[in-house]
Amino acid sequence: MDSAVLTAAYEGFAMVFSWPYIVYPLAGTLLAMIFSASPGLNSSSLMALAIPLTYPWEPLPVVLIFGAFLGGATFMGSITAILFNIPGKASNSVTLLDGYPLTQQGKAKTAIGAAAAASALGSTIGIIMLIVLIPFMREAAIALGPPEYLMLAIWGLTTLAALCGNSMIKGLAAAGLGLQLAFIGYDPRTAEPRFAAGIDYLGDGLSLVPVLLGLFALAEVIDLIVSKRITLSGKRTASELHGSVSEGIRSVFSHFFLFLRSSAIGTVIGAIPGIGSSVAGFIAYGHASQTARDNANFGHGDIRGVIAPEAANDAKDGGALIPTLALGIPGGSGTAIFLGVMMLHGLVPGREMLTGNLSLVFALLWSLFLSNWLTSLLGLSLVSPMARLSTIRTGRILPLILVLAAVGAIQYRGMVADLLCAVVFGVLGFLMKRYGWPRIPLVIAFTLAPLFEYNLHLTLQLQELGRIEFLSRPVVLILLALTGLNLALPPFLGRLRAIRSVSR
Amino acid sequence: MGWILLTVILLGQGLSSGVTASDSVCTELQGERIRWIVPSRAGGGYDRYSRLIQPFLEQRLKANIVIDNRPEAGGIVGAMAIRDAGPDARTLGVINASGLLAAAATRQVQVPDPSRDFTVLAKVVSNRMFVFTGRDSGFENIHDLVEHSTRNPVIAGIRDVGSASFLALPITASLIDLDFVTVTGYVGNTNRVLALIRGEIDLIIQNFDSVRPYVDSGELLPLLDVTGTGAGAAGPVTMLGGPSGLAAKTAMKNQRPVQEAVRKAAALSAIVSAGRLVVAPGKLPQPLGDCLQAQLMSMLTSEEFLNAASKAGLTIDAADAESALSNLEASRESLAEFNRLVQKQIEQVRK
Repeated sequence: MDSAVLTAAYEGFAMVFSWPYIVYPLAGTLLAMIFSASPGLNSSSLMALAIPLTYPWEPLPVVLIFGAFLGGATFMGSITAILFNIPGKASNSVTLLDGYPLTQQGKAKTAIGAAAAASALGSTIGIIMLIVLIPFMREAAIALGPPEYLMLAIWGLTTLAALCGNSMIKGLAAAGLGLQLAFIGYDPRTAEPRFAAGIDYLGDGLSLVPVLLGLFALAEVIDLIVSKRITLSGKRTASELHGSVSEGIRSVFSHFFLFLRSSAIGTVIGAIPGIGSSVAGFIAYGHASQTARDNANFGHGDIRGVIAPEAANDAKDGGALIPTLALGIPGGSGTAIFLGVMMLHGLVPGREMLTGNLSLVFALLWSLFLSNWLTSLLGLSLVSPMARLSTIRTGRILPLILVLAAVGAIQYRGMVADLLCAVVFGVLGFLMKRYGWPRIPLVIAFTLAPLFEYNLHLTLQLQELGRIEFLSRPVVLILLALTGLNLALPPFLGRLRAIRSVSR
Repeated sequence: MGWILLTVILLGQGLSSGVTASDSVCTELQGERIRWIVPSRAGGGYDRYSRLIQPFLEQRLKANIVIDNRPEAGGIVGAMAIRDAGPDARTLGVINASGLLAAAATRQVQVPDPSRDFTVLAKVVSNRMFVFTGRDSGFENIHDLVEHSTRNPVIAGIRDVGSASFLALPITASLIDLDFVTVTGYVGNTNRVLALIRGEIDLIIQNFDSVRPYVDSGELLPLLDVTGTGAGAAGPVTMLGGPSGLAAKTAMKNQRPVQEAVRKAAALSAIVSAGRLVVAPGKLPQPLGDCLQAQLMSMLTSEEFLNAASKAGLTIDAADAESALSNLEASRESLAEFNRLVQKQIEQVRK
């Protein structure tokens, strides 16, 4: 690595860990944790509120505190996802797929431990990849285009086959429904309304958070009422709970290669602007289930279903900074506000920032690193009291879950109609669960459909105009090969196992 | 003398009661939560303006302003959300007036009318449309681009049918004899900019302030000033309009009526520069509307706000509601004459 980069890394480290500057990332992390755990608030609202306060500040404290805001809010939403099936943010939504079933088995501590470790380590991998890419960050930011995005979506969609459970037909039908639901709203090319039935709310398209809250949290509430289960975990006292934080942390190391692959997926997807924070987690989850030898437990409490999305979700923050720092193109709402603040303080992203202000870039990265680790460590200290919530009688905990779900649905966009949407999907989710229709293929297809549709249109047009050559792009070819493997490997392995069992 | 004194006293009382009434109505909003709808993604041009305005307006109104990004359908959904909210000023927002005019001219669905469906409170800035190319495109000026298009049509990236860029593109191209094809579906400024940097497309037609950071960092090169002011562009940029603009020169070269070209370029400029307006839902009670208009204009022209805008690299070109409305009406009249050209372009995209 370039000696200038190493020098800047050291200078950035010295800036962050010196008095009084260390106060900024610490305060920023605590504020981000409080905001992300409070109903109706999130890290974006915290950043927006903080902007006017920072007007008289020097650039360094601004970069440090906003770096902490970016990193400190990610993990907390996973705790409610694991405990109550309610994601704190859209990006935490994948964690509930296996996190909540683990809570139901009395293993909330293990799930939260794994999520915390995967989250902190995943963010570190994302930051390391970002640092490695600094010398050619601009090239990295523009390396992928519509054909690669399209193939990423197709690759993600082919992992659905592994998540169909006992019935491939039901799984594919659920995925088809997910795709269909995602196509509600205006056509991205011609701007003509589709499947909206003249309802203004649907003109906007369905939003992921109310759909997820309905399909999982509200469906679970209905199921808890119908099934008359005594507590979320089925246990009455904390001593009956299984698992531990250390078991969760160890599980990350025992699935370390999966963790690394998921972190890489998160970093790459994070670098794609504007595709939604949950896509990285869903693709990593699909990949984890697709590559697992025994994937029958996915969706029913498989720890790998917690590790993969958590690692991808936090590694994504490092990836999102690639286009932000190299070109000034934000990856999401958090980096968009951060970008605005940087410009307000005279810091223009791009080549100048990556050469003239490299130590400041490293100060940002160290602050992000520190806040991610702090959040996970502080989150772990809350595990025991939080896990006890899963032993409270259902009659007492249900109102809390209902309130959290309702607030989550409404605060997301400030629309009461989103609550109604969540209720509709709650009923649908309950019926799907009751009659053995898998919900995960529906959600993954729903999440990946926009990425697929937008980039299919663009790729076809660019190919027709001769501006790209689809099959001459290396990343496309790699993703095509991975897609082929996704489709061919499961039947091949199935046949191999059948032959082996016959020969035995 | 007595009646003059009486008149002055009454007038003074009337004025002071008017001011008090206006202030007291604005106090209705104190401590209230105001939803501020932004018709773009976080980080987009409208979002940056809104986040700049938010703390200043919060301070003046002593209200809590919550920003709600509604970028769907090119901001039409956001505009609809403002239009359909109650006329109590608890929902405000920014609209892209020229975008809405364009959408009305190009979409089959009903879109909100910028002057009739809202209470216009102020104009923040006029749109300044430019044609941009990427720094590695090989085109150094607009003449290179036009010359290249005589051999191969150049490729323009746009969002969708119904955007202001979609409207401006065929009209501009017709005035400078630029042969082009479009790639539609680049949602969001950032995706169009990235496409240009990657070299997938040759040009975008875009509001200058929305992409200013990329111009400042040298990634984008402005080639043609469609709205004709030229202010704020990096380096000398060819103008479309005016007697010495490219539209007039192209007409002269091809022996077409020069005056007509100049008039059409001015009409296009009026449409696409209609601006970013701060609006409330229609039928807002007049005292409340008056108070908000006064507070906004006072804020938009204050030194403190202008300094912050300048630091953030955002241009402010504030105008009061009356002037913004009269511009809108002029734009609407101009739009009719380009209808045939725009419809032809829509048919091509929808084929």
